[in-house]
Amino acid sequence: MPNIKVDWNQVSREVAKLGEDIFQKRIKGATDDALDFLKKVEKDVIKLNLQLTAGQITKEEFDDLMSDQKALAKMEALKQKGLTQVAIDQFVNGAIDILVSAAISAIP
Amino acid sequence: MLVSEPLRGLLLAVFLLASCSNIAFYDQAAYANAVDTKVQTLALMNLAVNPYSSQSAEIAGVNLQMQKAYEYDRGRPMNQTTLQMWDVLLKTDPEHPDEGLWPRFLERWRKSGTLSPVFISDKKEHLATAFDAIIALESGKNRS
Repeated sequence: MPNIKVDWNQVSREVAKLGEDIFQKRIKGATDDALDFLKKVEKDVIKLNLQLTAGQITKEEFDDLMSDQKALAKMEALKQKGLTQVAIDQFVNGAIDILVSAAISAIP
Repeated sequence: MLVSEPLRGLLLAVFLLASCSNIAFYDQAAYANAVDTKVQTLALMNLAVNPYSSQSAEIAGVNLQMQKAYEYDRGRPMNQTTLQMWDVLLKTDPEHPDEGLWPRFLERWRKSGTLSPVFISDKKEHLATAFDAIIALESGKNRS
């Protein structure tokens, strides 16, 4: 039988580094997006209240526009969910590359 | 034995990981559909200062464009998250009355006959944000 030796320590170090890079970037992206979204909502709600007070929009229109905020929050959450799924795929594909390289280099 | 124990484990891990894709790859046509639909929708919304009945052809055109974009994304495997986003934009649901941003706008236009420029401008911002979320997710997907 050929002497096949996989450097598991190296593989786990590389996989851990990959996970750290991808998921730290994802967490930062999600946090930045969430803050931007909240700032946008805050600004929008202030604007809509001013428009309502000034009689530029009706109460019914105001309520409708406020309902939009809930839908937009849902959209933002789905976007973040999707981008996290993308990050998981990046990690999986990167881990496969590391494992395949380890397998190839283990073959004498 | 042709393959040693550690190598077998490694190959098994590779096959298991390879079968775990979560979400569709980036698709240029889907991206273009979302961008085109956004532009056409916002352009149509400007016309809401006119009577709803006078814009029925334009409304039908944009609705058709939306349907095409939706159906294209519906046919892509592992694309449920994007489809859920389209649903929030396009589908009314009595259990979630805040959803269906687009049909709610059309319904208000239809009921009111015309809409004020201020209200249209507010709604355009919201619809643009909704489209931007779909576009951002598509653009963030992995390239195959």
